[in-house]
Amino acid sequence: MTLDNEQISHIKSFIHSRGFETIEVEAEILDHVASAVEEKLAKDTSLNFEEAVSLVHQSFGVMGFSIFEDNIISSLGKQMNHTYLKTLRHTVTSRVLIKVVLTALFTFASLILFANTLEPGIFKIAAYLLLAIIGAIPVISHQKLFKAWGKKSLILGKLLWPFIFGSVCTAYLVQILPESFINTASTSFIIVMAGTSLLLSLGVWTTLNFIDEVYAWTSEKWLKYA
Amino acid sequence: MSSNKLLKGSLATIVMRLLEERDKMYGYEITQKVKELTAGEIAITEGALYPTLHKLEAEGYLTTETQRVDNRVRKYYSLTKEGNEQARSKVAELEEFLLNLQKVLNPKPGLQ
Repeated sequence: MTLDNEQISHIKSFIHSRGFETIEVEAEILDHVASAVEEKLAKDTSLNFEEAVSLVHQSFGVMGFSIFEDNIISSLGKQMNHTYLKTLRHTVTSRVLIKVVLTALFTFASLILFANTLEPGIFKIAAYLLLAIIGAIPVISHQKLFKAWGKKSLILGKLLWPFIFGSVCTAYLVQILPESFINTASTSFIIVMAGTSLLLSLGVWTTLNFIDEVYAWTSEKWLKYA
Repeated sequence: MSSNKLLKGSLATIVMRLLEERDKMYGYEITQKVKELTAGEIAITEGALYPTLHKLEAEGYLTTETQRVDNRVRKYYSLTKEGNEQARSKVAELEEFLLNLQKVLNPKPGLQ
C-alpha cells in the first residue's frame, strides 16, 4: 500500500516536532519511516496509521531520528571539504586567477594608500573595514539565496558558514599588527599587506565559486523537491 | 537472531555486495533485502545501516541520487567505480576470513 499525501504530511509534522526540519534530513527520515509504515500496515491490517508510525519510531531506539542527522552532517561535511579543495585548485589553475590577482592588487593598493595617509590607529580601523567588506562579498552576493534557504537547508544554513568565515577572519590579521609596524617604508609591512591581500582575494573568489557549486549540488539533490 | 556485534564488522561489505548486484537501492530496501535473504536471521537496524551508508558515501565508495517516488523524495545509493573495486576486494577478504574462521571453529583432528 502507498501512503496518501495527508499521511505523508502527518509523518513530516511528526519529524519536524522532533526537531528535524531541514530538507536534507527530513527527506531521508521521511522515506524510511513512510516505507516502514507502509510495510507494517500491509502486514497487519489491525494496526491504524498512528500506531504504525509510533511503532516505527520506537524501532529507532533511544537515539531516535538523531542518527540520521548526525551522520548526514558528518558525511556532508567531508564532501564539502573535498568540494572546497577542488574549487580552490580550480581557482588557482583557471582564468579565475586573473580576478584573484586584480582583487589582490586593488586591496593592496588601498591598504598602502591608507597606511600613507592615515594615523596608525585609524589605519587599523579602515583596513579592518576594507578587508571585512571584501571578505563578506560571498555572503552579500548570495544574500537572496541564504534568505530563501538558510533555515530550510542544512547545507546552506549551517554547513557552509565555516568556509565563509575563513574569508572574513582574514580581516582580523590587521588587528594584531603593532602600530609601530605600520610603515610603508618597511619591507616587512609591504610583504604582510601583500600576503594578506592575496590570501583574502583567494579566499573570496574560492568561496564565491564554492557557494555556487554547493548551491547547484544541493538544489539538484534536495531543493528542487521543496 | 544473529548477534549485532558479529554483524557490525561486516556491514559495509554486506551493503557493498548488495549494491554490486543491484544498480541502486534505497536505505529501507537494503534492510528488507538482507532480512529476505537471511529469512529474518539478520536484521539491520537504522542505527547501524545509515551511519554505514553515509560513511561509505563520504569515502567516495557510494554515490547518491534523489528521485520523487510516490509522494516523497527517495535517496538511492549506488557504487562508484572505486566502490565497485572496493566491493570486490572486501567480499574476497570476508570470504577468506570466514574460511579461516571455519578452520578454527571446526578444526580437523591432527594426524597421530
